[in-house]
Amino acid sequence: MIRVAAVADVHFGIDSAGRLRPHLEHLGGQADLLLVAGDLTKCGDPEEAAVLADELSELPVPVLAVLGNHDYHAGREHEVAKHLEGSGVRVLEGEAETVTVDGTTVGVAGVKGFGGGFAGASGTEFGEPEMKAFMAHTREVARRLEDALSSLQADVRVALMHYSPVEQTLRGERLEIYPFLGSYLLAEAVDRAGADLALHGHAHGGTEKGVTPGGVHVRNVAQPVIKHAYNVYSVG
Amino acid sequence: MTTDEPDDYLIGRVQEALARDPRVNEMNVEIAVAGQELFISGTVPTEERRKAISLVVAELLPDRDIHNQVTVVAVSEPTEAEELS
Repeated sequence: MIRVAAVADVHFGIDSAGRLRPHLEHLGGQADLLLVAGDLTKCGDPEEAAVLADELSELPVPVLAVLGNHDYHAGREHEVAKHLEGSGVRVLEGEAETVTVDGTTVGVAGVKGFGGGFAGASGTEFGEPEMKAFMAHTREVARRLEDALSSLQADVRVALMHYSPVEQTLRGERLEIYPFLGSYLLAEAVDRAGADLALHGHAHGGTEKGVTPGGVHVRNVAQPVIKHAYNVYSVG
Repeated sequence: MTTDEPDDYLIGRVQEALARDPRVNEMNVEIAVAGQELFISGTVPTEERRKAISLVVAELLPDRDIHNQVTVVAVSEPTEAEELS
């Protein structure tokens, strides 16, 4: 079994120093890798990323992450990623990475994801250019997730994203904002390529557990939902 | 002018300010209006941001009674793993 630790939406700011690291003390004994599902920073300021990078440095397990919408706000997402990579955090965007734990390979495919909505109530690439661009972005990141997942040759495969692939893990959020919280296209990508676990954040008011139409476990690990420094899932 | 502002538009202005203001950058709070009183609830990651919510809203609406019911997310280490099969 591979023990996957995961968290999202830590929203680190300059005021966050010391909020996470003390709770990572036993991470090495509890998990084989740590995945962070986006919204690493408050507003995508590289200084905020530097604070988080310090907290995640020299951990006893590999750390992989995707960015979230907050990490794009300042338009400096590449610098945010660079700070984290400098601390050994692998930041994925349409990419896949494989780590080996005691002879078992774990593959992680990561994308930010995007919104659009869910079955029967989704936006479509129709109408104004802005609407077409919105849904084209979702379709593009879903395609990149599918390609990244399909490329993995691993015993255990995990899809890591910020936006939700399913509605179930949004329950608790206002129904009106579901289209801003995720898209069924992400679930379709996961189901087509296959995975053992799909992780996301973004929905602070949602619930933890869901499943894709194809039967892949989905977990919303937004910190306000799990109320822990991270949750651990044994997979494989 | 603002005293006659419909509650829905007032809530929209507060929501936009809390998302955009760099002291807060928070979209995960609920805003409700009852007469002259404005209630804000939800969670934020730090005490500094909880306090900043009061400041930002007071600057925007100095004549309203603001009730900041936002709490800081409590974080602890997990005690067990979930086994997925």
